[in-house]
Amino acid sequence: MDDRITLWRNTLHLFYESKKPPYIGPFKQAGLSKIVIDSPFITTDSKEMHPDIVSSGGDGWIVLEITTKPSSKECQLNFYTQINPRNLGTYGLRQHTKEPDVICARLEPATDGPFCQLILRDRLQFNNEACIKNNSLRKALNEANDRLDLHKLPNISIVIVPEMAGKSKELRRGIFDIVMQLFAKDCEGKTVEQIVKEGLDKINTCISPRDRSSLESSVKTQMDVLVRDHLSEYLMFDETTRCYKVKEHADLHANTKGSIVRELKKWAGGDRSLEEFSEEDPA
Amino acid sequence: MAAVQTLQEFRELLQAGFENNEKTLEQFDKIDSAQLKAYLIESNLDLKAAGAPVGNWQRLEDTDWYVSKGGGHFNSLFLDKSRSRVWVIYSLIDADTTKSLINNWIKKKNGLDKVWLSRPQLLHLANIGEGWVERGLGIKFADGLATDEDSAGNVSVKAWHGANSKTQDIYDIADHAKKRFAISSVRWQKRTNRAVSITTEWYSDGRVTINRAMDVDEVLIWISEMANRYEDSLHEATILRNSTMAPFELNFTQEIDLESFSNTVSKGKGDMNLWLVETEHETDFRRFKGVDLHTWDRILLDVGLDYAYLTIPGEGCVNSAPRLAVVQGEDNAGVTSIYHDGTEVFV
Repeated sequence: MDDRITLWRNTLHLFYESKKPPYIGPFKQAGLSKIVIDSPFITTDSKEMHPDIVSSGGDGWIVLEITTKPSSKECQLNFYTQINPRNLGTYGLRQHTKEPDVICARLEPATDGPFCQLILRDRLQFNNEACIKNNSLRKALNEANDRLDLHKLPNISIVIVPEMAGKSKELRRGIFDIVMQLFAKDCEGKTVEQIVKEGLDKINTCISPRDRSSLESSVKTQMDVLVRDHLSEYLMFDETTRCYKVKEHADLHANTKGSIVRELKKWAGGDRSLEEFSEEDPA
Repeated sequence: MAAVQTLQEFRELLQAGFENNEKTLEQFDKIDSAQLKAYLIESNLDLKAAGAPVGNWQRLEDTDWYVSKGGGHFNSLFLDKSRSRVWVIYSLIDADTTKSLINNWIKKKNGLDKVWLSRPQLLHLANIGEGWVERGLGIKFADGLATDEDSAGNVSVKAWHGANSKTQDIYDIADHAKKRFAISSVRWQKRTNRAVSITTEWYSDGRVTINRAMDVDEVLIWISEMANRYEDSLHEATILRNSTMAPFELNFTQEIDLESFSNTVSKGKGDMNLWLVETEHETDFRRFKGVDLHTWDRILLDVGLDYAYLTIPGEGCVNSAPRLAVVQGEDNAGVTSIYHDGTEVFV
C-alpha cells in the first residue's frame, strides 16, 4: 500500500466505525462525524487556506493536515488556527466561536511545534495531546493511544493524490482498476482526464489546475508504457478521440482475464507482488 | 382472448387466473391457470436502453406499465416501471422459461441487475402485522469456493410448515438452521378474516411466486411495497456512499477460504461476478481492487475471514453491496449482515 493512500485511509477512518473487527475511531467517539475534504476556508485576516480535513462536533472543531513529508508543518498549522469559524456553516458543519484544534497526521513523528501530532502507521499514537482543547476528543484519543490497530482498516475510494505525479509505480498501482474498466463491452475508452478524475474521486474538485495537469501528464506516460509494453494485444490509444481503448471488444474468457491481471500486476509492480513496492518512489 | 391494452385489463386477467385456480383447487385439487411470478429488477437504464427480455415493450394506456409484444408469449409478460430504480416484471410464463428469459436479459445488459433481498428484507413482513405469517424457509450453502466437488459442503433445504404449535420440532430445526445459514427464500401466508388470502414465496434474488391469491390488488400492492422498500434502501445507501468515506461492511457467520476467494475473483469466475486483483496479502486478510462485472463499476474489497469491506468509488452502483451479501452468504459465508459506519443498512 502506498504511504500517502495509507495515511489518508488511516486518518479518514478515525471518523468511522466497523463491527468486525470491533473498531470505533476516536474522532467518531468524540462526536466528529461530518467531514469536509480539501475545501477553501478563510482566515480572520482574509487569507484563503485549503486544509486537508475540517470537521465539527458538539464539543469543538478540528483542522487536520495530512502529510508524508518529514519537514515541519508548524507554520502552516499556525495559519490554520486563524481560520474563521463563522464559515463552518457554509459546509453544513456545526458552528463554533472558538479556535479549532489543529492536528497534523503523519506516518512518522516529526517536529510540528506545539501542535498535536497523530502517528498513524500500524497503531494510533500521538504527541502533544495536552494542547487539544476539546475534552471529548482528548479523552477519546487517550483511550485509543497505542491500542487502535490501523493496518486492516478499509480501503478508501481515493486511489491517487496530487503528490503522486511523477511517481510511476504509485500511479500505476492507483489506477489499474480504472484500466480494467476499459474491457467493458460498452466502454468507448477513457481519456487521461477521465482516468485522473476517477482516481481522485472525492477530492477531484479540490485540486489546483497545476496539480491536475501534472497528474494527467504522469498518467499519460504510464498508460503509454502499459499499452506499448504490456497489453499491446488488447489496448490502443486512439489519436482521434484521445482515448485509451480496447482494440476489439470480445467476451473475456476466465483465462484471458487471468492473463490480463498478470500483465497489469507486472506493469504496476514489476515481478514482485504489488504490496512490496510501498518503499519505492520516495517523495 | 384480446391483447391486454390497459392496466385494468391486466388486473382483470390476473384476477380471473386467481379465481380459476381457487375453483380448480377446490374441485380437482390442482391449479389450471399459470401461477403469477414477479421479478424485482434493479435498473440504471432507461427503457429504450434496457429493452425487453423477449419481444418489445408496449405501454399500457396512460400508465408506466408495459406489456411484452412480439416475442411469442402473448399476454404473459408485464412491466411495472413506475419506479425509476426498481422495476417489477410480472410473468404468466412457466417458471423455468421466465427464469431463463430474465437471467439472459440481465446478463446481456450492463446496468441491469437483480434485486438482492437481505435477510431483514426477506423477513420484514413478520414485523408489520397485517395478517402475514411465516410458513417456512429455504436455506442454502453452495460452497462456491470449493476446489472440487468432493470437498464442497453443499446444503440446500426447504422446510415448509403450518402452525408452529403443531410441528414444534421442525420449527426448532428450521430456526436453528436460520441462525447459521443464509436464507434463500421465505414462504409467507397472509390471512384475512381467518382465511388464507395470499400464499407467496420470496427469494433472495428478488423473485416472488404467488402460489395462491384471492385479490389482485392485494397481491400487487404487497409486491410494490417490497419494491419501494428496496428502492429506498438503494437511495439511502447511495447518499451514504456519496457523503462519507466509510465502506459498506459485510459480516458473515462462517469463515471464508481466502485463497480460494482470491483465485476465483482473479479470473472473474463464479456467481459473485467480480474481476479483482489482489493488492495485499496476509494470512487472515486480503485487499483487492477491480471491477464488478455486472456493471463494470470499480470496487475495492478488503476481505477478512468472516467480514468484508466494500468501497464503491465515483458513481458506482451500490447494488453490489446486497448482491455480495446474498451471493457470498449463500455461496459459503452463512448469515450475512450489511453495515455502514456501524449502522445496519438494506433492512
